[in-house]
Amino acid sequence: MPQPSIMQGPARKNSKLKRWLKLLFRSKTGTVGLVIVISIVIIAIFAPWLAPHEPNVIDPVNTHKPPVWMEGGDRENLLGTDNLGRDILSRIIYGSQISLLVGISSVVLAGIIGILVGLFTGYFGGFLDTFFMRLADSFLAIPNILLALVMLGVFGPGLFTLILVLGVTNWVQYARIIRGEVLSIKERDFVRAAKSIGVKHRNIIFSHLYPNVISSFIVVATLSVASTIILESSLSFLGLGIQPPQVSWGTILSDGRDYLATSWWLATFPGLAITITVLGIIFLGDWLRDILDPRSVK
Amino acid sequence: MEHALLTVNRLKTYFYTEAGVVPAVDDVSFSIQKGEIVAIVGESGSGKSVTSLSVMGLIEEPGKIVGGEILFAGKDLVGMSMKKMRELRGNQLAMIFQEPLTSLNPVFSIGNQLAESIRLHQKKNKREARKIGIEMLKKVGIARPDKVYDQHPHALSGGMRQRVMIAMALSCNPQLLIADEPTTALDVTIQAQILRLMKDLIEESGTSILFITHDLGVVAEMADQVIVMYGGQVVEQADVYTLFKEPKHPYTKGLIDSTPKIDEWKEELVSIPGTVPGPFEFPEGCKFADRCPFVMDKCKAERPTVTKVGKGHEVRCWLHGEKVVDLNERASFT
Amino acid sequence: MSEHPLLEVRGLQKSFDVTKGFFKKEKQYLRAVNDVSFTVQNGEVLGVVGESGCGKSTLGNLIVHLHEPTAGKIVFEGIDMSALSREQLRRQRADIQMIFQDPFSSLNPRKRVFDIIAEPLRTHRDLNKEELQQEVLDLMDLVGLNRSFLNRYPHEFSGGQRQRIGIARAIALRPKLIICDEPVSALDVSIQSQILNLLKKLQKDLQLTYIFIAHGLPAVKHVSDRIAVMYLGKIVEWTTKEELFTNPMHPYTEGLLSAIPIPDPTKRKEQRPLLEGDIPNPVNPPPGCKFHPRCPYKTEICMQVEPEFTDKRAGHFVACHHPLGAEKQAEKKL
Repeated sequence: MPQPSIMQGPARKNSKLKRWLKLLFRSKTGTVGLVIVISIVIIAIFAPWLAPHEPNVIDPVNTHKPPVWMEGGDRENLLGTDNLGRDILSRIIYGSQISLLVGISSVVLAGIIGILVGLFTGYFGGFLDTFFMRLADSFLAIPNILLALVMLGVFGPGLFTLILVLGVTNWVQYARIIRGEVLSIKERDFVRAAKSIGVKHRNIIFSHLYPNVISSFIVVATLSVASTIILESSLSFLGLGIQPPQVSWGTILSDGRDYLATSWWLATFPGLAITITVLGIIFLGDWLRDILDPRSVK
Repeated sequence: MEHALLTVNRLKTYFYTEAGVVPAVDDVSFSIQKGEIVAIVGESGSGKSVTSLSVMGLIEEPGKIVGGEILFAGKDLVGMSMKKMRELRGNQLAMIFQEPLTSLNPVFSIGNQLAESIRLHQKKNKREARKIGIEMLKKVGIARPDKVYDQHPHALSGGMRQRVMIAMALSCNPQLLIADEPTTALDVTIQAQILRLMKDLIEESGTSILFITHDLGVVAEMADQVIVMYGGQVVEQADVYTLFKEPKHPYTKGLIDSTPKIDEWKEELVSIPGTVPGPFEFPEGCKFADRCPFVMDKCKAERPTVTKVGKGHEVRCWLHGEKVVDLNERASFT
Repeated sequence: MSEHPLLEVRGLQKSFDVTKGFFKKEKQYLRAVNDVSFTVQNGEVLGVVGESGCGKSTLGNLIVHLHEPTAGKIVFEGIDMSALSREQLRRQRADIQMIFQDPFSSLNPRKRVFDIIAEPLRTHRDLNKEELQQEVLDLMDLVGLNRSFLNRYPHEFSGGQRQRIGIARAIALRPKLIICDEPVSALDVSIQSQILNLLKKLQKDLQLTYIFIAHGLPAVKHVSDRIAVMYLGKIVEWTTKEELFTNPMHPYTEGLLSAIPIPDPTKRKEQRPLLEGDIPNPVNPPPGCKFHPRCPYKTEICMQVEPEFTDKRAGHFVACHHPLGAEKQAEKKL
């Protein structure tokens, strides 16, 4: 066997992992992001064991109980209770399941549609391009929330329709970004080189273009996980999103909105949960973009 | 000796990057007399552009001038206030760049930009500035200058744009013009025109030029004095005739030999082996040691000092320790 | 087989629609390549030289089929390429490869050296893992790349090494024709001759045929057997290298030659004639001979009638009403 040492698999994988970790620990925000995201995922998975109460049990006696450190609060409900006496901490813990599921899977769905459309329209141009870009324009002309309302009205509310609706309404932004990137990258010489070698279009798209556009997608996608969680809460507020007894951060938030003046903790804690999660995902996204770029570490 | 217009003395400009400190200009000294054309030759990473930017006071974060002085007409430019530096630039110091399109603002007309610098430094009103501006365009060989005056940069060819840049640079009669690869982006026939134009213009005005280039052909056409840089250091400097006739640094010799000559027919071109090292890859001792055909043990261990080998001829190389070696007699690069 | 030249280009044209503005009725076309014909024999190197806008790069792109010709034929090994089906064309691509100018944009930054060099082999040949690796390593030896670089990414290399990677990719399939599109113009001087030597060596050892595109004569001088000079989309002169350098017949070729800076200060060409004027906008080329606005020898006829591209001396084709050789000889007699 000639030169066996150069290509050995395990060594290659090992060094890749090393590189990732090196990059992770070099970036403090990346570490923080990873810790946050992993914690929230664990919380979501183990919600039934972690939550001190059932999320939907009503306790008419203990409504509007403030958090533990305020006067009138106690250890029974660490973050207080809502207008129906439900334990807010438990609701947030259970809510993380739905919120993460909706936020991430709808972005992934929108991303898949957007990346595919962007790659193909940008690369081939022509009629395909004109068609999809006009379609994208019309999507942009209709407010997202209105579109979502119509679709939910037609399909009926529910978790999976919600994911589908949020995914379908959001692909446009990804498609546009990816298409723009593709338009500039396909003029680069390495793409011309691949064409002149006779590489099939499919391979040019997926092995040359895709790795070079994915980092811009990640940046936008991490940011829009946030807006998706918020959009979900608006839809839930309108009664078209998550239906009780399911809980999401958005529903807790919108339930608490009416009591902002008197019981601020109702809306604040789910809001805080959204903020922390979103920050964690953004930090993690930054690091992901770094590890996907071979230029980032020598 | 006459007072030099510009004296750069032991200049050090370092870049503090995330990956470490890059000594882009490392102990560089030279001077420019009035009316003289001095060329700095070097390849990428030689520090030739950073040297010129240091003189112009255009070094930006993470770069910093960490040592030495730049004496221009008796004043030290290092540590001069931003305001004073700005007054100097465009008035006594002017610069033209490699890519004229990026140095011109695309949304303003040529005249607008030309007049701006004239009005700023010469305190003329708009009509006078226009007159001077058109006069300048005519001087740099632009046909129908009054029409071009009102055109926008994108409407001009690369050669025309560089002419406009030269007109702008010379509009305030600077004492020193720094030209950073002014013809590299141009076609050969246009390059020849621009070079001739620059020579004619400065003969008239007595402006000195610091000419940055990688092309020894251009150096031979233009320069009075030549500074050869490698890895942030001056490896050799001499007047142009001496340098081409008797190069004393192996790198200079390699550069001269590997420059294609139109009247020479060879089976194989002369080349310098290896590649120009990255900023952190230079060897310990002499920076050229790992590409040098004459390398000795001393070169690997110790960074060479400057040796004077003739009148105004200095070289940073250990070869010429006890006696000066004639590189032309040594078989060197193949 | 041997009856056909390897490549025959007949009446090749490529126009680009450069109409600006959505509502303009009158379309504007840029004739990048305008009625070009030539042949390339097996094992020969044809240098194509011209300044910006002359269409040399478009010509290269047409031959590798990155552009569709507007008119004319490209006949490769006796087969008209426009008659091929898409799949046949894709297979055909293995025989015609390209080396690009910019070594920084020609390599995918997200791929390792191994994958870059292996791509053509994976596309056209069915090799198992060991065979593929062996092929790639052999190619790396051939172009002078260290085998330990196999798993590195392009950004870890200098321009010269990147160009070697690009060359390895181009020769991987042992193509019959390689288009070298200004392969050294983005490189440092000391590296250029390395790459030129390598290209020449590979051409000899592997019996390759090149079309070597460059913007200046010095770059093509070393490798070419024959040289075609292009101006505004047309070939104006086509002959052997020796003939072109010693007896240029087109005034433009003469101008190109005299514009080259000579790396010898004792031969400064203060008095040599230079071509005047700018390269015209190719969208609105001048009538008659396209070179006439810049030509020092132009007469009435040049402004009206486009000269034909004809064989003026054995194998020396020129498109000029007043080719230089004749006049020169007349002068000598006087």
